Amino acid sequence: MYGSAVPERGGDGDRARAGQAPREVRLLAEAGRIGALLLGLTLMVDVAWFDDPSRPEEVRRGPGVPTRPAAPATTPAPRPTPPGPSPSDAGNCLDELPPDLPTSPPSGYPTDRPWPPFSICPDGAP
Amino acid sequence: MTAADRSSRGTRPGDLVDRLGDPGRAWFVARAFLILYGVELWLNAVRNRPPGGDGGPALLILAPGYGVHRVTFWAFVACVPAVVLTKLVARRSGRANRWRWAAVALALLPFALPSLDALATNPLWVLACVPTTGFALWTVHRSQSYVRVPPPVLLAAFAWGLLPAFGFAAATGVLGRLTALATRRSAEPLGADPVSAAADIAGDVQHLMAWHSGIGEELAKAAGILLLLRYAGRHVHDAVSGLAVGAAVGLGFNLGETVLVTSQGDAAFQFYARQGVGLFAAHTAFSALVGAAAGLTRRLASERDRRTAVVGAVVAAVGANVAAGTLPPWLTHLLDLEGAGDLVRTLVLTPLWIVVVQGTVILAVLRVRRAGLRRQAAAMATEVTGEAATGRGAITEADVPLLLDPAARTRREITTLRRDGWRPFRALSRLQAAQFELATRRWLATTDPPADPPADPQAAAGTDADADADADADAEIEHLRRRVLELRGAARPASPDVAR
Repeated sequence: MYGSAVPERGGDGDRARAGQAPREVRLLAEAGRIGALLLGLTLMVDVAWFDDPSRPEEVRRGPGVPTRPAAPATTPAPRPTPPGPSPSDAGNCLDELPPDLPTSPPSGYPTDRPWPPFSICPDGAP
Repeated sequence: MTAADRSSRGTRPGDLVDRLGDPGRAWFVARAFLILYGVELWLNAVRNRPPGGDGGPALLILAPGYGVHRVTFWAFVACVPAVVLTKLVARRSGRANRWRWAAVALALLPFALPSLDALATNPLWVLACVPTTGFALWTVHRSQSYVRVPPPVLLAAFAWGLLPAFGFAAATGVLGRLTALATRRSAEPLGADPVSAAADIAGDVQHLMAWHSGIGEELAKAAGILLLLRYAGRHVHDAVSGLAVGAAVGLGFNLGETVLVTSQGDAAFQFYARQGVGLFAAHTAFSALVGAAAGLTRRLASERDRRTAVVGAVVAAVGANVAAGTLPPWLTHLLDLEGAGDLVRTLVLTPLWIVVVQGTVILAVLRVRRAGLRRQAAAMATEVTGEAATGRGAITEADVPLLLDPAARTRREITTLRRDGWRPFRALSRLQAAQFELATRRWLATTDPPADPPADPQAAAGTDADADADADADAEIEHLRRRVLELRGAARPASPDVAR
């Protein structure tokens, strides 16, 4: 028994009498404080940097960031096969999307409209 | 395990795990998994309500292309009534606990599916991970210099990390990501084409997912440690044994994640990062710290110390996990290293970010392990010598120097293996393991924290339970002595001095 009021063989008798936690507990408490600091720092970075539109696209993209793989955390989303355009897009489609099509709508574009405004035509569609 | 716990659980001498009995804690964990997954689904459905939009599934997870996650959803839907039915049968059955355990297994089954799918569809990557992960497990086992958690218990911990923990994290991770996407684009009919939208704005929610995953993954792994503490508590009795179990859970999780991520591209780099430089960091280190705290609670008398240890470890693990998903790209940007070449990123930046972001947690694991080993060494010195002094023959005076010197024991094992072969080596290993088990039972019997004071004064007056617990401990020690003597007898013909 560690940290007990009763000293034990091979235990922390003196430390217990002084009311001090065992060494392992103090180490874990210290690790917890560092973990809290990391959480705080991450929150600050999220707020200050990830909402910054000037941040590099490859960093904003997250999963493609070259330095990220060392991180264990996030389970990547599956890369599903696009299901094709919905019927409502049938009259507004292209054979292929323009290569220079921006990934986000330009400023002033209505927020209640989908982006991009067109999609790939289904086979056989005009 | 306290003497009182041991008595109440009906553990018999020689049991590998505590007798299972009522799966109260396992059911608590399984139910928590089901509820959390259900909450994720509910959020998914609530957030995916496009104003005036139509078409597309109500739940984004049902969109085409989500493969195993759709299967997991339907397995979840099917398992809920099955679990309820099984619980009802348990109430009327004479074998109630068996049915309750069946309900636990049914409730956890959907969460094993993402892991099983990843393993089954990427057999070559699984094979590639066997040597590295196997080496890590062996290292974890051997790093316990005195008494060691039995390999079956370590493998059970590994299996928890690989199957339900990783599967649960993957299943809820995808749901959380889709919910975040729907929230981010709440003004658009995301439900009409969620897959394209997901691919388009995935980066926008990446930092949110670091939080979601960091918390979910660490709690899913910690649940397994909690269960092993309950059902194999006789082997998870201090920081060192807890650390080994936690590391095994983390290695299982890391294997599942490696296989999944390598199959999605950039495979060589992902393998290097997760099975190479990051093998003992990340999930392994985070869960090792939580496991060490869990094991330590067995040896702490003070409620405040127990709470401090567990909260500290969990906050450290979650903090490092969340930070590991966010800080490396930020640091890369901050130091203007985006233009670094592949070689620099691989050989310099990847290990550097592990050290910078996770270094404190890794260091904490090493320091807790060292402190735990020192405590074990002091206790073993007392108990091994004490057992030798009884003259019962399980541990002799000649055994003492070898048992108390880990390096000398390793040298003796290698010598035995080279000189006498595998069988004498195994006999020696089993004999020494049994001797340490005996010494550890003696240690625990004399240092068990006192049970919480009973609320009932009449119960407080009765010391029968304590006396029974003491008798159980004595019976177990006697059983272990007989076992050591049997093993000594089995080892002797192979090599006369094998035990020395």
